[in-house]
Amino acid sequence: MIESPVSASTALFKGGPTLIDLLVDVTELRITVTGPRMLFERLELVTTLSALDGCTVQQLRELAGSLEGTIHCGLVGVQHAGIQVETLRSGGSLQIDLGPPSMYQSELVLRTRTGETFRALIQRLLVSDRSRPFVAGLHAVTASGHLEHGHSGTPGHGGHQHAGHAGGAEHGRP
Amino acid sequence: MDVRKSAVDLSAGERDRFLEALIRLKHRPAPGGPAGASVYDQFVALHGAVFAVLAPGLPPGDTINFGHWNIGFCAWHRKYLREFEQALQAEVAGVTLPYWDWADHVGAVGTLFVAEFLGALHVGAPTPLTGGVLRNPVPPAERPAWWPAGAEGFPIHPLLESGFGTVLARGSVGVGWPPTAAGVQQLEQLMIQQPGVHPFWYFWLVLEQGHQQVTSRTHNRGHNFIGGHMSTGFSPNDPVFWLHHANVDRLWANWQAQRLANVPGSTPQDHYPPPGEVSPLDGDPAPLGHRLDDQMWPWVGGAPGFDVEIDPAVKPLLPDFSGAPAVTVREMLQTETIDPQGYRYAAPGQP
Repeated sequence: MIESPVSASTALFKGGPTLIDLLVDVTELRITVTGPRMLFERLELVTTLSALDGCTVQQLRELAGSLEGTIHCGLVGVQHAGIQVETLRSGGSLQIDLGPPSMYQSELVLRTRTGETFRALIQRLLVSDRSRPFVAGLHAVTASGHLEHGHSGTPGHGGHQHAGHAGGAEHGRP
Repeated sequence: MDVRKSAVDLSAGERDRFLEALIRLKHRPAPGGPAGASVYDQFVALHGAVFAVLAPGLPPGDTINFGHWNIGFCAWHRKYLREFEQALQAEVAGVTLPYWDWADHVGAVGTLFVAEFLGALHVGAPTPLTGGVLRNPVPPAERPAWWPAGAEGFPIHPLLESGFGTVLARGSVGVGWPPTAAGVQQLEQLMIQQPGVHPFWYFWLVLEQGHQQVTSRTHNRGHNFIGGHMSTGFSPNDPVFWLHHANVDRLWANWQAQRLANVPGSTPQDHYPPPGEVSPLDGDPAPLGHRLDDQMWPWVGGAPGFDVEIDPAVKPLLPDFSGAPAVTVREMLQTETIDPQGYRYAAPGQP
């Protein structure tokens, strides 16, 4: 019998993929994040599933509770990564924090608490009809602030948000 | 010509002269700077300031990172390291920057990250160094024979300590390191061919940020692997910075040499994107300071209109290059001719 790998790695970087496939047969994802909060603000679950398919806010909350994440960042050591469901007018949104801002890098380690693979967990919690094909992944939301302004590297120091900044992507010039 | 060697290949004497130059520079009063600031601290402040430079012609509020997140990363740091190396040489003649050969992790752990050299790595949350000559203070009984008179230790300037305090801190948090030798070799030979896209865009991207299809364990990962002060914008507070970036620079030099050898008759500028080429990553030309004939702040020959967006208290720590000639990216393309002395890298194992 061939065992499935328990862990997979991927990376977010300038010009890189902005969608991380969650329909994977592993129980741990190690996601290298370039410029957390400077290039990438947070991760959000994106899926073709709707509440009618079983992807209700309640089930999203159960999914959030079935995941655990840690941020591995040289600024703070190892820190818990917040995983929560925001309720918006458009529906529920599962969001994962990326920890303190850094102009270099951190690593998010995301695991299922149940020992199931991500694919199995999502199928169990979010899908009523398992024969129906669907897509689920984590979208890396682009940061819109200017945290490099006055950046000292200390979590929470410096910078300001430019929500209305033309282009809305990272800062005006790299 | 100066020769930069792998740190694990240094003799004990070469290692000690390098450390002595570091400590002396840390205690050399900054010319024109505030009391208590050293020339070393000026270099640290400069690295923190380069993230957000206000340049003539930019829209209000817009800033440019002259040193990171685009192709000028390589040239800016080449100039920055060379300036630092020459400052070290002013303290101890003949000293050159060693490099941290990432792929030789056994050698680094056994020779470089030890009390006699740069001090130990620390596993876990960032914690002040407790051994070696980069502590603050170093107990008198533990100071080596070469220790400069009047020096107490290796203090981090209070305005540049980033919340970690004035003793150098490190903390390694379980990120994957080191890269394999095969991964590094793949990077040195990286040649992505796409229509209208110069291959340097991708070499720079992997070198600075990493890419899982080549190796993710490059510049950014190295900063996070060391942790503590090394994870901040004032990362040169940790002298590992200089050896880490010497290796970054070496890999660029190796890539350049490969390209020159593989394209007979080509010149160094052929292996840098032409000034008007747009980035395949964001669809824009490289920003000011990153293009072939751009001047690189702070080496802009005293041109008016430049400023930085940084804590006003840090500004007085910045070195003054207004009297120095302007420097362009193009002038940074060959290490051997970067200045009258020039430098080159000795391959690992070639002391």
